[in-house]
Amino acid sequence: ERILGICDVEFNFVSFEEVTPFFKKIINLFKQMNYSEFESDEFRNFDNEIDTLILERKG
Amino acid sequence: METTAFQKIYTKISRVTKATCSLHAIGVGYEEMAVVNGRRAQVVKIVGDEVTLQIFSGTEGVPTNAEVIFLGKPPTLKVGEELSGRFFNSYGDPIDGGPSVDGEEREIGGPSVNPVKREQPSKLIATGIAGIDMNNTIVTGQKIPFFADPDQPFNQVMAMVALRAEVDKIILGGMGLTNDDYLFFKNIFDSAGALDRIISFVNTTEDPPVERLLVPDMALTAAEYFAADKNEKVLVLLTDMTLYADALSIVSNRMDQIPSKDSMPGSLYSDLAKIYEKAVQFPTGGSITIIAVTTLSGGDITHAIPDNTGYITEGQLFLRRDTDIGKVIIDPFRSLSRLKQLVIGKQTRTDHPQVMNAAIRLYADAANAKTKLENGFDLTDYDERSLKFAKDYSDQLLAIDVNLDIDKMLDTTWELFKDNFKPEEVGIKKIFMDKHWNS
Repeated sequence: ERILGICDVEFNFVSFEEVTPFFKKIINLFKQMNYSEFESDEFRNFDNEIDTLILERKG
Repeated sequence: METTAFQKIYTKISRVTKATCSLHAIGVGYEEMAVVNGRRAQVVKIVGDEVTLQIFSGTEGVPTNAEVIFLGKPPTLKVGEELSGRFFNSYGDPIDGGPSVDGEEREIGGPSVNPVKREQPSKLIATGIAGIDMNNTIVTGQKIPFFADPDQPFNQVMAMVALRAEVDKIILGGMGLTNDDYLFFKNIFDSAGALDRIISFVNTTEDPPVERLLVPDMALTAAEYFAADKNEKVLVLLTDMTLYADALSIVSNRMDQIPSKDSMPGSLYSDLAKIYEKAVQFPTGGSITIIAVTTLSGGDITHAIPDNTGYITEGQLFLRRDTDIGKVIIDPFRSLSRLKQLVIGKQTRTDHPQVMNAAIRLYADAANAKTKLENGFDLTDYDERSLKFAKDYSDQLLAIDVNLDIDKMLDTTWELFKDNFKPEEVGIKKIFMDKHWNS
């Protein structure tokens, strides 16, 4: 649901070249969450970082 | 050849084909050795009292009234410490000018080790080649082949692996070796000062091809002696198993057996498994690790020989030439060691699994970028960096001429990551990133 939620968000990008690096960061954060213990502090920190990242580009 | 007094001598051969002869005899056992007209032979078929013998050097010139003497036992090998540093032919006779080995006589080709007596393989074998140690780590007691085209330097790679591996004994089973290959092995082992721990059973192209069938069993009988009796770590190198299977096909064809896929005998899987399943890790510390070469005809892995081999063995190491760097590499996409997870990150550094997986993933991205390039598409900045990474990764790590310890391989990979990618593109766990990226 978390990932599907991101798919429904509208983002603002200045150029096409900005898209891939942005989503690579999100993907990496999901990977780090996956490496972390579920619902641990580390897990939640990564989750919050994803929210922060999305807010930066949200339309 | 040894003969005894009052041996029964048969002089009436009922049928002669290209490699076999048949006669009526009683009291003969399957696989029993015999001498036909002075030539070594082995019983391959018994129907009632009709015995068919496979004559190793062929039947040319064998008359129907030739003398046939059964030796009363299957092929045997005399085992002992005196085997070390020696070269033998397919029958276990010395070919290095030295004396015969005086030791316990053991039948070759016995059953593989009782599963209950085995221990799960767990000790790493370091070869110095990153394509093996980093991506396809092998362990003692494993059976794994090299798949290569006939023009690849597989014998050189085998020799490198043999000399770098920390084992007590290396047993070479050479089947269909050219004289150049035979001398190459002899010289490289001699100059490395390793000859005293190497035992070689050699069938060259000048020897009858059917004799090759004895070589793996000879090598593994010697290996079992050192591994089980002496608790030593033994590495068995078999080259080339394709020629071994071809010899099986020759005998099967001459016995009028109906061929299976690719003209191979229907028993090919069992014939190969009988050899490979001798790989073992004993709880007492001894082990037999088997590394065999299977050459591919035209790179076809669906041919019966590599296909069956792949089902039996615990992975494969695929050699190919990387045209970008002009060197032979262990192809990371087509190679696999099914037992690597037993040791990576446990007997090696904790970041090993993540670094290995990240490198392969990024190498795969580079392969996609290369396809884009070849099809005329524009490349992104990430594509360009991937291609550069792949070239450096192949040259500094995957190439077979590299000789590094595992920690150095991992450090080199980290440097390549840092030189070519941003942290979020690598996708490695934060704890390792903090330690190795930010240091």
